[in-house]
Amino acid sequence: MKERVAITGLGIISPLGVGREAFSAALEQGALGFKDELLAPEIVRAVGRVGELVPTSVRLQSSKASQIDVISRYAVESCGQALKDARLELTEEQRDRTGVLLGTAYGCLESNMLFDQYQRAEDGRPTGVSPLYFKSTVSNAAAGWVSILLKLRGVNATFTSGVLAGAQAVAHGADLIADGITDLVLTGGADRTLPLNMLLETPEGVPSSEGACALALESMSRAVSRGATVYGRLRGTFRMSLPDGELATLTVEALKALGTRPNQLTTLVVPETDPVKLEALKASVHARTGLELQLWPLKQQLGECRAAWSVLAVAAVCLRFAAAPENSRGVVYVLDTEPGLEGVVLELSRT
Amino acid sequence: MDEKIVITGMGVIASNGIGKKAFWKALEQGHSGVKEISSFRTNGYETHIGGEVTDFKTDASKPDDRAFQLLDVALSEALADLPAGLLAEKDERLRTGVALGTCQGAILTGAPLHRRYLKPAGEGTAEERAAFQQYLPGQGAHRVAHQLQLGGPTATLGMACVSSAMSVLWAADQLRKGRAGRMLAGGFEAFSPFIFTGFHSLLALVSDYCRPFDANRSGTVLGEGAAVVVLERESDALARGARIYAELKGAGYAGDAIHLTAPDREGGGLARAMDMAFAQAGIAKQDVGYINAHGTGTVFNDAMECAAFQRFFGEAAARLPISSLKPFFGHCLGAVGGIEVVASTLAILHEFVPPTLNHQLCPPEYPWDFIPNQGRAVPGLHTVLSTNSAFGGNNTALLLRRAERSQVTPDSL
Repeated sequence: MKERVAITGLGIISPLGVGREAFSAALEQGALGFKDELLAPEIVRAVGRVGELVPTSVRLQSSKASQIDVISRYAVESCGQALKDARLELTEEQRDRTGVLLGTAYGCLESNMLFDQYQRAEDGRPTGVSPLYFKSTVSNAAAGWVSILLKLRGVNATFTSGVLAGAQAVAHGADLIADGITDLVLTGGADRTLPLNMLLETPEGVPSSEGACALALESMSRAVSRGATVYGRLRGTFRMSLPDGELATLTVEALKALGTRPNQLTTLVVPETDPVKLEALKASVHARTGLELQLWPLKQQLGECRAAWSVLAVAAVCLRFAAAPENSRGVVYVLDTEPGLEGVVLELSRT
Repeated sequence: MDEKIVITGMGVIASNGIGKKAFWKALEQGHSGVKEISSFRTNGYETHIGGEVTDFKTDASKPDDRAFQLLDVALSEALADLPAGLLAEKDERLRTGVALGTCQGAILTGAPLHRRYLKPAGEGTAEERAAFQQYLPGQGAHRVAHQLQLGGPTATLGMACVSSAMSVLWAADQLRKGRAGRMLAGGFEAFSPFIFTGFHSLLALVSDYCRPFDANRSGTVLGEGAAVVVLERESDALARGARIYAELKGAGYAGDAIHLTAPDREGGGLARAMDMAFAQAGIAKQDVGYINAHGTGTVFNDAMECAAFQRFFGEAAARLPISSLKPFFGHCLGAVGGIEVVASTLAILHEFVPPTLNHQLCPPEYPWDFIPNQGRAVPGLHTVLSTNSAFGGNNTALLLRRAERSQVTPDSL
């Protein structure tokens, strides 16, 4: 029997704030998470920064913290917050059945750059090489650090599929909980913004951003029986090939595939930021379904934080649910797309 | 959906053989592809050997990184196992997905950007943008999806040395859940100064011979290559009259949660991965007739694996044929799990287990059957366990089983 999947913990590292309260307050105030930065001589761009965070939700000696690359610190802090938020005291046996699933678009890019900053091998002599940096040049270092510092010995995986990597990690985690394969997963996404990716990938006009977000997922029956705070229910996930990136098509197909009753769907959290395209999306969905949906273009506040974005969007929805009446039955879709390739929908409700 | 998942196509490129026929012949005859490194100068390093695919020259007229060109070789061979024109049909393309694993992907193309962009001087050039696009971790799978116009699930697993084993696991999961009708899965990795220098800095590389599971083992040897398998539900494969290489019976994965680069000395993570794989497979431990181990040849990895096998199989571990194929093609990181899936499948088809080359002396605490230097026939071999472990404390276990129906015959390979 499939288990229903509950979200019982949130961990948030964002340019809008670190931690649930700060993030929630900034969202409600309509704050913007980015400001202008000089990237290179005469190149100024809007950038969303978290900076070199030091984790506080886990006990960590400062000497050890400095050995951990920044994206791993984001992952550790977000997962540490989510576990704390879920108010779980795990037994040794439960640690064997608690997993860590993360997604990152850029992975270990920063560590690769740092490893290469002094080393010279072209002349056949490896000089200036730091093994300390090298060990972080694997994209799964972040999930590895989370498992080590939180002592979580269950399933452990890292998706590096691009923007959708975070959503894929969450979807995979939901599968594991629904199938009863594992009892608890900390799942989410993390990405850094660096001059390299800002100058060579991010389109001008879209603020490049960074951050991480982790969700604690467990079965609804377990969450209810232990009296956990349930932020929301991850009802289902959907993906489809979407070469043209058409969000209206993604929404319509998700409605069919997920079996959401149209009158339940209230809001779409969308990756689009352009007001004209947002209006067109709203009109297209209305024309094809008759629905008058609210659009929440969260990237207008957060910027483009790649694999972390869709998970931060789930957290934002959960925080809105927390402020809504307990019996509210509305369904929210978080939409995300890998440009030119595919689209993903995470279907959420209050209970 | 509780369907059998089967392998209906395979392609491989490694330093000991290009294509599954040559690859298997080398495994059977004990021919290693490890030799002196030729793609860059190593005079200042302590070691000079590696498993470069020297019979495959990078085509400089193509814009693609060598890692992608290696992938293309394996992919083409795997796709050749499908009926001609199958993927020309739109419906077939839409139900086909791709999951690949890689550790550093297009690092040969990306590495020159590293120092240039620590303190960038200005806007990137078109050439740099194109290089960065290739270098993005997810680019391998995206590129295949675009090239073949696939509509199924697309994912990249970036998990160091378990990347491609994990991609096979995830791909099988997509099929079990009915999210795809066919999945291409595997991994790719190119030999690079970046990775070589890193492993060298960790003192993990051996200067003469990689000796997995030997009392005097002292390090690993790096390699490059790619492998792709085609996975389908058995019912779909039989319905289209496909030949089946093997069944992917079960798969498991787990973290050590001990150390980022050193394995759990008690083998806890790998034991949990095996637990999960056997639980999914629903078979008995004694069904396993051969373990294709990770066996990097480093002191700690091999000791960890032995501890895990002992923990999981008990006394029976001492009697199980176990070999590591790293001395044949080197440690190909993100590609290695996929390459070893192909090797394990071929072992079942040929009822023959390839040896651990360079093995002279068992560790005193593990006087086991490591199949030293000479492969052997194992008539009736039907189930193989393939294990991999990685930095980050990741471990995978895949169980491959002889196909019950429509099996490929060894002479038809």
